[in-house]
Amino acid sequence: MTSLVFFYIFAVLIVISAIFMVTSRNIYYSALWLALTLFAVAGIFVLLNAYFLAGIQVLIYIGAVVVLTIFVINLTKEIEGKTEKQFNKQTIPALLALLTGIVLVVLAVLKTDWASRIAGWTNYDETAKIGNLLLNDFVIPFEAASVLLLIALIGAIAIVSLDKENK
Amino acid sequence: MELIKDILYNTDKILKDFYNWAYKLWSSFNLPFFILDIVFYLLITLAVAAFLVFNALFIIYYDRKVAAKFQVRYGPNRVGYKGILQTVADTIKLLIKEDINADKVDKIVFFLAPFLVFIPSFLVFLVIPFGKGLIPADLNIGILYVLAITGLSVLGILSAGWASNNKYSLIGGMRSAAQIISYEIPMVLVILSVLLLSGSLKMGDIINAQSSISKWFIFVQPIGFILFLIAGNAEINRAPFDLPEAESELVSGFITEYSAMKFAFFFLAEYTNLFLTSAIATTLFLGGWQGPFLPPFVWFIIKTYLVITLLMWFRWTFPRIRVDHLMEFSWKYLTPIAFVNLIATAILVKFI
Repeated sequence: MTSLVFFYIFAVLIVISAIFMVTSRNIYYSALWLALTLFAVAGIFVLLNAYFLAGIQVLIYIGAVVVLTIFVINLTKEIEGKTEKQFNKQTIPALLALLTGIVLVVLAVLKTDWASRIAGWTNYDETAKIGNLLLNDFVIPFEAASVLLLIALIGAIAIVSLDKENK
Repeated sequence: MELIKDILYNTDKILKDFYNWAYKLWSSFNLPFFILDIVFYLLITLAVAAFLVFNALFIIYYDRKVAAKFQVRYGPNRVGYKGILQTVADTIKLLIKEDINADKVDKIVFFLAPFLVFIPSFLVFLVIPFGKGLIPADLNIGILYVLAITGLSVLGILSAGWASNNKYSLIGGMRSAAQIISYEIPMVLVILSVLLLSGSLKMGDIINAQSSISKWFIFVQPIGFILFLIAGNAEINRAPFDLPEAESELVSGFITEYSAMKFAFFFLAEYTNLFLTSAIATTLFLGGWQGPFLPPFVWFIIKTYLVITLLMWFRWTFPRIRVDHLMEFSWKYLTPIAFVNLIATAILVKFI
């Protein structure tokens, strides 16, 4: 009962703050609304008993991603784009992309055999389980992701140092 | 007599008995139980809030006295016995002062920022183990929760800097964000090496893993303890890492435009964070509330105040370092050392 109430609170919070994030004219406000959206998502994770995921969500998405976004916004001059248009004319492609997304998510939800997936997942040490899954069963995708991040890191450093040499 | 002894030494049992008694009483009234739970949570929150405020009042007085000792002067000594009420008088002054809003500030964000800084430090108290059973909630993700929530306060500092619409404030906020993100890395690596030894993120388990003095993680992880103190000191923006508010360069950094109540919130958050860093250092490295003879709560306070004194000693001994040295220090020295420490710990845990 309580969890249902909290689910609706968080769900409404996610939707409203996401709408404000997109429609706000001031990008600094957008970033703050984004932080609220991500925080509410962490709340949903808590309701699903995924505490570790919630912690990581707050640590990475708000503590790092939003902070870096704001960092960049602080360095930009035009924070409030009063002359910029808020909407463009790409309504039909946007709708198509949205529909594809919805269809994919609904299909994934319907096709998954939830009962067998949840079985044996009561009363476990969630952090240990995630660690085992990441470093045993899914070690290749995990390593691939870290290599991808390393490439991005080296790329950023290379671009910056190239810029310096040219000057 | 027996009861007082029980309250001091077996707090967890007393609290459980009290809860069960209240539960029985409540069920005789036939009222819904969630009201009772809410009342309990409110009581815990109030207790923590009261502790936070009085503790901050004392730490500020203590900091000024320590500073005075280091500079061979008296420090506050007029209000109350040896000036102990000085911070109370200062607080009242701050509360009744006019709240000035500069003309060109961003009103909403300017108002929000002090809360964004203060609320995270209040939330962290949820997992601080004050004593045996004296922990508001022993979450499974304990220390990860601390890291996640403390990361939120950067948002408030950046917002304060940006909303003030003042170049010094903005630079202060930016410095603070860069600093906190950089020093978070060695800090997390050190905490990871502690977690390898304890095998759990839970505060209770971390303390139980240090059951005797020889098992305290400060002796197993001496380098880790030093790194944690340095990185922790940098995370809470205190000298020698107080560049975000370096008064000789930036007036007062991100708090330049703030006055009265809002300023008080920043001040409260700063000293609460000092306490929290020391409390977490106590939990991770000094065996938490464990100790002979004295009650657990007293041991926790003694150890925490020892760490606080150490951090104050740093503050009044070292000069402020330059901003480029600050980044170099974190990325070129602390992070590699923390990595080596982590790998060495992992090898030790695996093979010994």
